[in-house]
Amino acid sequence: MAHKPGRLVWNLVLVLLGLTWIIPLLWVAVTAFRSESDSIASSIIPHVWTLDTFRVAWDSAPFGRYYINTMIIAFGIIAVQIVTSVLAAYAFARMRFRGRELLFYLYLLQMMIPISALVIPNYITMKDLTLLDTLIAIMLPYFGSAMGTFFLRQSFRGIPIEYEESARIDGASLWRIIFQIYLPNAKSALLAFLLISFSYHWDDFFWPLIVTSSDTKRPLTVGLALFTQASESGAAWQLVSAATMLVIVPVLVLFLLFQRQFITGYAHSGLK
Amino acid sequence: MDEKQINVRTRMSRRQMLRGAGIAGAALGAARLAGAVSAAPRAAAGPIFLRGQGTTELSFFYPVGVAGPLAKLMQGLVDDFNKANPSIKVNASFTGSYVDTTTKVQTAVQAKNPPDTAVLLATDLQTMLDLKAIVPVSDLKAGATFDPKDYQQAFFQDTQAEGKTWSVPFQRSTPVLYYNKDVLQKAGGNAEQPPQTWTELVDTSKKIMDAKAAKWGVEFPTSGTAYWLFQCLAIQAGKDLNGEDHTHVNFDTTEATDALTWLVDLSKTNKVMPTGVIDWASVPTDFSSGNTAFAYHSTGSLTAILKEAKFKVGTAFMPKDKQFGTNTGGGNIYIFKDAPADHQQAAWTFAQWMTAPAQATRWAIATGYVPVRISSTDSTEWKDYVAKTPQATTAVDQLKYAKPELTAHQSAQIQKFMSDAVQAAVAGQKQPADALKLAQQQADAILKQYR
Repeated sequence: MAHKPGRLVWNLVLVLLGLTWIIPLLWVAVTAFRSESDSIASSIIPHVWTLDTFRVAWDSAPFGRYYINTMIIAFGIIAVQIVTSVLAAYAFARMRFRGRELLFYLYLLQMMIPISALVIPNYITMKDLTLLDTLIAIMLPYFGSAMGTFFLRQSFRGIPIEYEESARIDGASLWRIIFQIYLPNAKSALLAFLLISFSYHWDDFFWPLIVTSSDTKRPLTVGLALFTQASESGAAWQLVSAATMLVIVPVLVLFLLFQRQFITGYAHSGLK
Repeated sequence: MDEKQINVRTRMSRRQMLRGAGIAGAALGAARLAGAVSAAPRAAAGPIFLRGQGTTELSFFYPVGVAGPLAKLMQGLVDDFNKANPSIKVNASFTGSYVDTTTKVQTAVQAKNPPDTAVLLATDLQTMLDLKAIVPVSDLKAGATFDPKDYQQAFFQDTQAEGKTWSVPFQRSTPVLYYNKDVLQKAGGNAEQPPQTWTELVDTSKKIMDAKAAKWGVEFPTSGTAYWLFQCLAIQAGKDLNGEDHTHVNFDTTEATDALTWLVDLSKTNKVMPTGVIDWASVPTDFSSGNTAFAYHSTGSLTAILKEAKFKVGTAFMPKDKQFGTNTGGGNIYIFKDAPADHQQAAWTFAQWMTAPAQATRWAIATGYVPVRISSTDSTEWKDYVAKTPQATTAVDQLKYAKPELTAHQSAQIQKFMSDAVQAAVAGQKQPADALKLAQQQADAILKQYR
């Protein structure tokens, strides 16, 4: 009996939090269907629903090319990050070598350096590698991830060493141990990291803008910036909304799909 | 995939192998993936367009400062230049906002890999000079038709430093007062006689609100780069914020204090403006939906306002205090020092073409910017345009009261001090005089090292 009012308050808080999250998103979704001549201040719901604004936004930049590039960048980065982070995490969690802790903390230190401080050195590196204005230049600085390594290392350390030892006695190779013992048990940490990393790289604007110049090498966020950076005029909210929808819908769908995976990941990660 | 890239691949994996034997395998995998990935867009990009041997290829960075299909318009202009000048091929690249573009240029300059030419803020001149990044266009060989006197002098004066011309005005805006003619009439005013002075603006606003013709009398946006519009008030009050050179600013003056006090009092004592910091991007929407009778905003918003407003829109000079006054904004075309000499010359040909009267007219009509050439306003295209859109003439006429936009060494930082002062006063956190005094101290602390 006593916990019921508490539960009610808690549910209310959750509903409020949900609303603060969904209202701006709904507003953007609705405004995207408003025509350019229908002022956003005249009503909340568009007077006439139209796809024209989407067409104007879509025609303003090569969004098709941008979609492909963004997918290559985001999936490419996380694919490499899985490999590098898993192997590094295993080394830091289980292998014994001199200076392991020092190396690990040095590795973590890179998380403390703000990305913006690395723009010029990274740009110069890309120039020296003659990689400027390529997709690989956008991806390369992110192939190693301190955060991913850290997440997975902590998670690997929580896995009883007995699993590894019994697998070894059964004759499993190191690769097999990592990919069949450690990785499945660290699924939730891996998924959590991948979600964060994926959305970061899907949304990344500044580094791709700096390091590329041709339309054929640029991601969606650069297309979105055509509408959001107008400092010499007011914002064209309808176009901003339509372009925003173009950029976020695929990632929203992906998240809704992966959310289930994410939760089942948690459910299966407990020890029997 | 050519040899150079294969080389890069081996170098890259060697670099990554240094991270430790455990990661080497992954690095090789990564390099292989990289190769596959960078090959894909090239194949998809279609055949590479080959030009004659004498072609100079120029890289050109440009920001988009006005909402609308500006990138497409820019590409159209550049394509026409390339067609008209077979020996030059300009590769135009959209580079975000003005700030993003400046950052990209600064990064590229520091890596000794600058673009050949770019559109940057007119006020970036001193920053680019301090970086030693640009060449004076007056040292390059001008075409036969180049006429510096035909550029609007209000725009041309901020290309000048050390007795030389460092850029050409290209996309230039200036603030005006937008007003709702229907509302003015409803409140008993004459739709063709908007307020001329600060006092008249307040009085008319009060009448409009008393008659319930609009929710608010006036909106003066103060979010973001508030210094820009505020500088106009300071000029109207009798003293510009710009000092005698790029190492001085006049922030802490009685004129600026009067201006800031008047602005604060629009909400505080006269109650004709919403309180607090008003968002720059929302003001045009607020105006075009009839929420406010008057709005201070950039000429860049004219197209959008005319599209959305369901009433008769008027534009007027910003009201005067002691005098009419405005500043200017927007971007000029710069040419970079580390570009090869033949590229600089080609870039100069390009910059002259882009700002020639015909192109200046075309760009202004398509975007809402003010034509940078005086002779543009005599052209039939412009005359036809203003016959349909008389609101566009106000900005051109107001230019005779224009002063250059606030600039100094480290101009972005100096401008920010001023914006912070305006916002602190409008938000009620500081008295106008105190806010301006602080801004002056902050600016002097930076500028004295250049004196």
